[in-house]
Amino acid sequence: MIVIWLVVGIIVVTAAFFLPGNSVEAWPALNSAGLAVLIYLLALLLYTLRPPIPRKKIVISWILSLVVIVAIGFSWTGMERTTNWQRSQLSKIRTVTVRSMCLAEIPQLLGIVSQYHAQSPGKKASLLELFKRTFPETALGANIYKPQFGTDSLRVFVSAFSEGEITLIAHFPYAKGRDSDYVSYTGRKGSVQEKFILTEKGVRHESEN
Amino acid sequence: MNQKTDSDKRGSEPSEFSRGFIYVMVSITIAILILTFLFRQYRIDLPEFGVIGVGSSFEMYLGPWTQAGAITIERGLAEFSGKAAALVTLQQKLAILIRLSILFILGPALFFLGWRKRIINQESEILKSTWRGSTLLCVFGGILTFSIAIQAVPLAIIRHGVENDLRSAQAIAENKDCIITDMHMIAHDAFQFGILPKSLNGGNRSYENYVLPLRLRETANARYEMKLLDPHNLRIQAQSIPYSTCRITTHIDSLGQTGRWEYEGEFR
Repeated sequence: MIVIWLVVGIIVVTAAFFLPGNSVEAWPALNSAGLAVLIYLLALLLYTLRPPIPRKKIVISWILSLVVIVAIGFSWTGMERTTNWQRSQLSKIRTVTVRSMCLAEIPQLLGIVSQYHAQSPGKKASLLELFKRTFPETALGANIYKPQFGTDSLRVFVSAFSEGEITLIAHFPYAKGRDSDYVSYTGRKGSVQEKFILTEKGVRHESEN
Repeated sequence: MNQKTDSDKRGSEPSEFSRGFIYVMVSITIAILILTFLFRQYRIDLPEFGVIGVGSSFEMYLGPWTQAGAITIERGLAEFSGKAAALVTLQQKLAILIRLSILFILGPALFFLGWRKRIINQESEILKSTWRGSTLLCVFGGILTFSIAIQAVPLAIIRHGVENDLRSAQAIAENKDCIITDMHMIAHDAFQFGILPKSLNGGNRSYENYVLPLRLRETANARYEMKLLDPHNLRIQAQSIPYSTCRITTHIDSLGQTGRWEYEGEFR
């Protein structure tokens, strides 16, 4: 009888576990198997907790079993909720971090504006000339950002330029922006993008996504 | 004259241990000896069967939801590093399924069915004093069942408290990060004012006459106040809006760089 219960239990739980299919998360499979386990345990309790077991023991066993099942249920659902929340928080932290990395480019751009205004009135190089001295690779659509570390995926593109105005697009492909449908400068959807417009009046910043 | 003893009249004494008990006892002993020898001779490192960040001696008592949670965190960290989340591997799935089956199928089935069988057998005076194989299985099932049952209620209570603390701490940290970002924006704006000539409404290498723009005086994160320390140095103070006891102070130098950060309240 024990063997039958064990074999049936393992078959049912295994089938329920693999029912949801492949996923990046273990929760769909585990929750499906958990439901099967709950039904199995209730059936097991119904079968075992009956006469000739004394009535008092039956009642106490049922109460304790239900308390444990409910407590495990709280731990189970709580763990899923907490870890999913932590995962979303990591995504949020990453977005805040990459925006800060984008904004960290502003001082360098303001340095160019400072150089521009520090020039003597007679010999004034244009803003674009000063920009090209700092970023020799400047060209339409060129990425002028040098990665700071191995997985640094920030890109800063020159989207437009003239003698007195340079427009830069800072794009972070793997960080989620505000709008998941927003199409970025590179064609990728939903990622963080900041725009910087450099003029003689300073740097104007627009957070695009 | 035949001498007969009392024991001859009643037949042979029932053995304290049934044949099944001895078979199960010997089988378990041999199995443990073989497994011990194998694991000592051939060490197996199977990270898929463990729980990330937990010592191996404790993790056998953790529920399969802990493994699933560890996988979720692992995916979150991979995304944080800019990597795409991979599918759960077959080894990880099997590890969870095995743990689930042992703790919630094998343990309870052996314990409850063995317990019921013992109670039924206790009706027999002879069998009452006999150790049977089912007794051992019942004890083994009880160990598995109670290892998860005893900690269930305390863990559920502790976990709830930990979750609340975690959310509260994260909310405070998020507010702090956002305020720091806002203060950097103020530093950029002040520096921009300083480098522009007076003809462009700038400060001409000075912060005198600099006024915080309306959009930077108050955000969803905090209220900001500025004080001119000298023509080349500013002090900015932020008062958190959601956490009234939390403040951040920073100084901005002539190059627009922030420094001398001070944190008050829960921001410390």
